[in-house]
Amino acid sequence: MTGLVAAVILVPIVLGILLLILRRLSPWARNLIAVLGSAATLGLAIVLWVTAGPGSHNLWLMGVLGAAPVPLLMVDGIGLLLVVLFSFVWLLVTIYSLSYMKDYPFQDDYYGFLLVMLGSMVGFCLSQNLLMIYLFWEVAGMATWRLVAFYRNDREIRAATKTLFMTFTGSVLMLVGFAGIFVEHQTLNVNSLAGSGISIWASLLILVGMITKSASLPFYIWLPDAHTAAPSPMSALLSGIIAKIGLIAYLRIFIQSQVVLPSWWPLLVAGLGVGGSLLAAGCALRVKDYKRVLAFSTVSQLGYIFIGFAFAEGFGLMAGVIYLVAHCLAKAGLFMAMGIVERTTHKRNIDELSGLAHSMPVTAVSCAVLMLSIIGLPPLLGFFGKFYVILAAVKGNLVIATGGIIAAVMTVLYMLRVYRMFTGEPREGITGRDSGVMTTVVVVLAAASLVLGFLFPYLSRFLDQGIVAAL
Amino acid sequence: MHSFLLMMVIPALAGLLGYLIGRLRNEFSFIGAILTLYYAVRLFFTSRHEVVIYKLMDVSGIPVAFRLDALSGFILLFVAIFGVLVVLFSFRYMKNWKGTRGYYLYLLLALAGANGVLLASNLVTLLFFWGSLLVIVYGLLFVGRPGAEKAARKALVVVGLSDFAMLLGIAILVVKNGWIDLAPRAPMALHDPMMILAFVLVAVGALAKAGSMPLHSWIPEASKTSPATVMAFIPASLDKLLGIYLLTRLSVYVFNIASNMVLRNVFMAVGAITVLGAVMMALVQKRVMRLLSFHAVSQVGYMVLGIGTGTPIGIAGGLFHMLNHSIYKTGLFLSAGSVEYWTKTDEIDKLGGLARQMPLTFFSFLVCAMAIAGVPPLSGFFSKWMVYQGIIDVAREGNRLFPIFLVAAMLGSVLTLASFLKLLHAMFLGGRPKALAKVREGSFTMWLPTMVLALLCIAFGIFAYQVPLRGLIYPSLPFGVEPLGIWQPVLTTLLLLVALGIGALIYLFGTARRPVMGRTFVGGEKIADDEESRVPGTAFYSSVKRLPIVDDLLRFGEAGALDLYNWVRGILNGVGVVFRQGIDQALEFLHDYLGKLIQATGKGLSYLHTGNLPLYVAWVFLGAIVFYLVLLLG
Repeated sequence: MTGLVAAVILVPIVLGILLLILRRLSPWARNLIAVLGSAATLGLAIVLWVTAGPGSHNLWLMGVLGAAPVPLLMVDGIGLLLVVLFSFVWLLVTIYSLSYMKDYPFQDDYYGFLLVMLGSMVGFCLSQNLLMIYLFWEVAGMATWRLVAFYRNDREIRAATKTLFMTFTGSVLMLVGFAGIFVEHQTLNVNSLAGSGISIWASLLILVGMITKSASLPFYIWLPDAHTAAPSPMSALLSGIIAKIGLIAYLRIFIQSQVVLPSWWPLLVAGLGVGGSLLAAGCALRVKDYKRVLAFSTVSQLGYIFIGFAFAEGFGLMAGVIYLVAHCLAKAGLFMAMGIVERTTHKRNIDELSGLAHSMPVTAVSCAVLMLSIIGLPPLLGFFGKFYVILAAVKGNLVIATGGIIAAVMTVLYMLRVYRMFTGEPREGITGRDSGVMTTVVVVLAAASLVLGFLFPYLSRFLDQGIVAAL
Repeated sequence: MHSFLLMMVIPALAGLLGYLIGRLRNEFSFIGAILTLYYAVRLFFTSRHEVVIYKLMDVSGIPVAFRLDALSGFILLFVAIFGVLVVLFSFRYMKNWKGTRGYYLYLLLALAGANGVLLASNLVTLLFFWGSLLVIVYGLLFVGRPGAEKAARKALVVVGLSDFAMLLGIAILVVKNGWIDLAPRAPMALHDPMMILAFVLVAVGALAKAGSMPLHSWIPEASKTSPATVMAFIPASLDKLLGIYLLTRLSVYVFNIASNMVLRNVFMAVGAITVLGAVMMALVQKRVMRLLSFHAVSQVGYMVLGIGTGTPIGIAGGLFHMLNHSIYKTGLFLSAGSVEYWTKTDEIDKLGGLARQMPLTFFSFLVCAMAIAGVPPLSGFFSKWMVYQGIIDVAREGNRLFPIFLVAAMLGSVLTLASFLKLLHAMFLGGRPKALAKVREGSFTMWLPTMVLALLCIAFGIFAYQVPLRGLIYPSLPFGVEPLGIWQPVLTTLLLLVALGIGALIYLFGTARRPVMGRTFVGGEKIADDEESRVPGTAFYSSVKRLPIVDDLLRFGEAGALDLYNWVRGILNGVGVVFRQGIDQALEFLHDYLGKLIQATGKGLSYLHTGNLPLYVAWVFLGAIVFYLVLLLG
């Protein structure tokens, strides 16, 4: 088991570093390594899931830090779920990239960093030691920096620098908070904090790091720029997975650890969440670039997950996790669909596009499904996330729940704004095209959103056993 | 498989098969609809004498369960009947339309979703199917003429908004009450403000589905671009049945609306405004479908008014009106669809004089139009009568506002009659445009459904007590309804027939057959029998447009100022401007400013690095002095 855990983290990282070092590989071999690397990670993750058993809550002691051996990694229900989900989406994104990125230079960098980032994400999901959390967090952050600036124009470099600057500032502050925990409790193990309190300044500093990474009020402003600048598959990863880092850390450090939090804490986090959600939804109603609209939408949805996690008792924890899964699938799919639109029409302004459903019907329908999932209508998976978040919010505070509902209505409006590109009469000279591999990937994600909606009872049973019961 | 599940699986499967094997879509759809009807009939008869509960599973504490009782039983039956009729009608009618593969899929999925809503035993299960139905309707509205996406967009925003309101309401019920059963043992009184809020929020969802004002705007919009069958199936029948079903459940089974007079007044006011507002808009319409769609909104007013009275007779009347409305409005849309199919237009100006050529369609349209206008002894009269009785009963409880509601309801009825006289004249009577000389009655798949519906209107009117009330409406309400005083539909029908017979005798044997015919004096002008001197129907009631206040309202209405969709969009866009230009840009500026500050500091410090060794030595020396000073003085 220990070997398996090590393998699922190290295989992608080693392969990624290999790609970064051996720069002269033929494109064919490089693509093969990239796809096989993420496929192997997915395979290992599934094997890990099967051997560990869903719903288990097991600890693996690994490594020696200082004098005594300390627990570094943990395999539990939520970690397994996230690892399988993320490596699945990652594989799809890699396959999509083969077609999307094929005309660009620096592809060794691209696939290399992609694999390193995958490995660090997997490691992050399995970490339960504050130091490991920080380590994987920063590795993923560095890879993000390079991939956002992939095109290396002035605009992209600025966006990447902004991303790095803000998230790094946040994570350093968080590290200070970690140090505070260590000073108070002489431990870096999240699970040994149960029942004890963390001093307010430390928890606030940690929270700052999380909201910066998970782009909530008031530190979200890097995210729209980063998404607009990054290549579409990278935007998909950024929105679907990387931006969730802060939330997963919140889940590990503030919820699963069962630390005692001050009574005003849920209201603070939920307030920031709903504020960010409304603010970003409002911005999404105004901006013209469809990728930027979706980026603001990501900020808005992340705020929603914060609401769920803030009121974690009862429905909230499950709500947040379901929302996270639904959003990961749907938003990754949407960004890749927008990538196809961008690639075939060479337009980024929603006002310049219309009637694309005639020329790219499959993408249009998949997009509708993905958007409806984000809007949160049944039978798609997003509905359940929204429903449980609102349940949790009503239990916590009715005003916040109402804010969430208003944000949901705004979601309908801005998604329809983007969807205008598919409806109506086609424009002269602007046609899109369903492109084999890329469209297939989008269809797979749309189908996943739909099928998981119907399979939700099973997902919920798994979550009940694996996450809620484990607390 | 449990027959409840079959009610959802069969139509969905038939729709999917029809979509995948496009060649056989008509066959699959028809078989699916008929099988659904078969099971619906069986369930209907079961529901007459027992309540069936079927629990599928628990999803983290929330049950996914189904229930069949008298109320859901009869609505289930009618949903299935409309499904069969609309599918039958579509075979011929949809030949002129594009995208019919998706059309049948969505139609049958909507049938499945509606069955799910009706069978759901608690609010969360209901919400799942309710929201799915919105997604399906959104897809269905895309089947249509260019511009269909506008109606789809409006429907998604307005109905989506109400669905989210409903979600909030249900969440409040789950959290505060832990109680979401749609038919609990005893309904709860509405005094706790939290419960009132929950009730109103869920009721907003029900009203939006039914298409009550101000949540109606997508229905007239859809009528411009959607096929008549979609209009007949979704806004005219399915949405009414489901919306009013939920409203009845809420205000009779889950809560007791009679316990809160303020709420009753609010509902009655919403009903009255809907009746009058929409019927005014209907009067001035120039297209048949759009006119009918405004009536589909207006009639909801009666149902809401009836249920809002909170009196047994009023609630029974609202429910009965829902049933009648879905019958005659489906009949009207389908008949109008027949006309549209053969004449290729639904503009009132281009129609006329079709009674001879399409006698069956004319008959069914006439019957349904008289029913909606409330002409006795047809069904519409009877249910409106019950609603009036309900309003009068409210007066007995000391409600002072009742005259307003009563007058609004009656005035609405008059205006409905007026607008249908216009329509009957414009479509079937009056002068016939040359272009329509060759129009004929179509195949039986088109006239049979409309005929069935027209006959139902007659039967439900004449035998109102014996069939619909005693068989369908009364058993589905948890309280007894006092029989109405003096109105005896069978006797009235007989008397009416006798009167008509006497009239016929007078006509045959009296002097009426030999009237004095003379030329109409038209000021010396010659009136030729040609296209230009034909009197089209749009000219009717143009005087309404010239009334003070009303004219402004109508103009605003036509321009969309009373459209909730525009309001929501406008307000939220305004919020967006504030957020984007105000807060977001400010944060952006702060970030940039911070960056500049750091750069400037770095630049300032760089001036200290001149590369001049003596200067560095001087700095070190200075530093040492300061250090020692601090040490000594500290």
